[in-house]
Amino acid sequence: MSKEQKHIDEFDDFLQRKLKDYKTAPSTDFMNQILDATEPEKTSKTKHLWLYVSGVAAAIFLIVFIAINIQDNINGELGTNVVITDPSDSTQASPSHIVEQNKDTASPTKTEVESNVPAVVENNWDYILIKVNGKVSNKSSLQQYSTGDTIYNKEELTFSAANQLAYLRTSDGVDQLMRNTKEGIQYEDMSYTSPATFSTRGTAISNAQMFVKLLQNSKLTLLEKIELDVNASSYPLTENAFFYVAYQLKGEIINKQLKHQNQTLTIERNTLYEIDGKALSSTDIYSIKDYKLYYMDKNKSEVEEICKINLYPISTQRLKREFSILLNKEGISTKEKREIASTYLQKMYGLTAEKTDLSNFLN
Amino acid sequence: MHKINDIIKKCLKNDRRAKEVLYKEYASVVMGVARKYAKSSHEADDIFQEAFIRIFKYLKSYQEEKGAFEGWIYRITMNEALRQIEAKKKNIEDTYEDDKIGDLQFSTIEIDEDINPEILVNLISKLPNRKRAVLNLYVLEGYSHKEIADILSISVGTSKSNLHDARIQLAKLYKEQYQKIHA
Repeated sequence: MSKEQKHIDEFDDFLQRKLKDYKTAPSTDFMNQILDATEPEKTSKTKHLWLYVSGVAAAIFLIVFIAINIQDNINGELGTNVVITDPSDSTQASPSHIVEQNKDTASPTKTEVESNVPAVVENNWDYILIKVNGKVSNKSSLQQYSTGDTIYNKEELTFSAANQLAYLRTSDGVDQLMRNTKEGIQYEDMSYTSPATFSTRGTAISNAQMFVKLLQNSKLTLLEKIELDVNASSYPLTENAFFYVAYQLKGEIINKQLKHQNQTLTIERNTLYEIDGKALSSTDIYSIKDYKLYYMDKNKSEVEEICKINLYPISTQRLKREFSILLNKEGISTKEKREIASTYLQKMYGLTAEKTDLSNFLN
Repeated sequence: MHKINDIIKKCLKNDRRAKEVLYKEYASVVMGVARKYAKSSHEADDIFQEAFIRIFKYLKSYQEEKGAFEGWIYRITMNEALRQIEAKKKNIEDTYEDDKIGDLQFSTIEIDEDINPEILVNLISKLPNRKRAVLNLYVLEGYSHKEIADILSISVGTSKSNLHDARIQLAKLYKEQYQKIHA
């Protein structure tokens, strides 16, 4: 045995002596939490009771549902009927920008909503449909509407479900959000809505909390790329020190090293959703979960988990088509375009896009 | 000292007091194992909780004739820690593992018998996941490279090179720490 090997063995022995029987008390008392999680008897009884109650409730619901259906068929009613009227009419406007078209006795039938709009306002405005969450079709022709279609005034519609949203533009260019609610159809005038803003420009990020604020605290979407300026003393960016995003795809953890240049970090959509040079399918992209940002310093052999990234990918192709209609307005500035697009993303997708990313995408 | 077999029997009858006794008796063993395998105290907490839930869940499978209860608990916790490491095996730190670990003469290492084990555990936590697991399994648990290769689904060669790197990295960290303490 070489002398060096002898020293290595001594070091191993030393570690073993010190750590073989190492014990330490937990810093937090997890006892009740763990014992609660291991209560089989109680849980199972509660579960059985719950299953029993749910079963009885489901049976009652089913009977009522069948009865209502039979009644509906007798009356010849099919689907949810909505008569489109123009909400921007002054006779219907309320102080709130949400205009309720029907406060009457609209009662829910099936799982949908029947809205018998009592007064149809006479005017000449029609709507262009920009996007609908779910399906909406013409009651008589059964034609299903999609982005770019015109819905004519007084047209009767059938919705596939309650609480659907449709983003519409009146023929005089006013954007409206139509919501199919239990109380009837509600309209929200989009020109009163402030856009959700989110910008990474201005300050160099110097701590994890700032990353959390930008990437974790709201639901984001990545259109092309997000650039983040990072403080050099907190997170030096070199060949050996870099950020990476880890995400879960089909049960595997995928790590993507992020590009950087002069302390500017780039999260790029194309490279994020590419493995071994091949772009991921949209099905794969939508199935990704648990995005996390890490900082690694190879010189120190350290990896720091920075934050979760609340990222929700959407189809940029579809969005481009929607934007081409949404932003097809005369005389609006680049800033206004961005604000309209930002509001639209927030309302129809529940997402926020970074300011520069959105501007680049629109150009 | 409670008789462990009585406690186990009561735990199996879902006696909460017995479960509390068992928890209090072995919490430090479980956390000790968790800390040796974890990268951070947060990770150690996760291993600790998952391991304890498994201990209670599989309590009826413990057989006294096959070994001491503490050893059984130790193995469950170790397996849970390795399971969590396995789930992170594609972690970038392994993908981007530095192959320029450098070298170190172990003859320059001064053994400090009075060093607090907490310090050593903290130094081990700084090693990359797989290297830390290999070092623990080989040096502290006494597994062979063949066994480690099977446990971690790696080759014997990888296990050997991981151990080599882990030892050097740990020894360097230890040396720095020693110099700080004895400066």
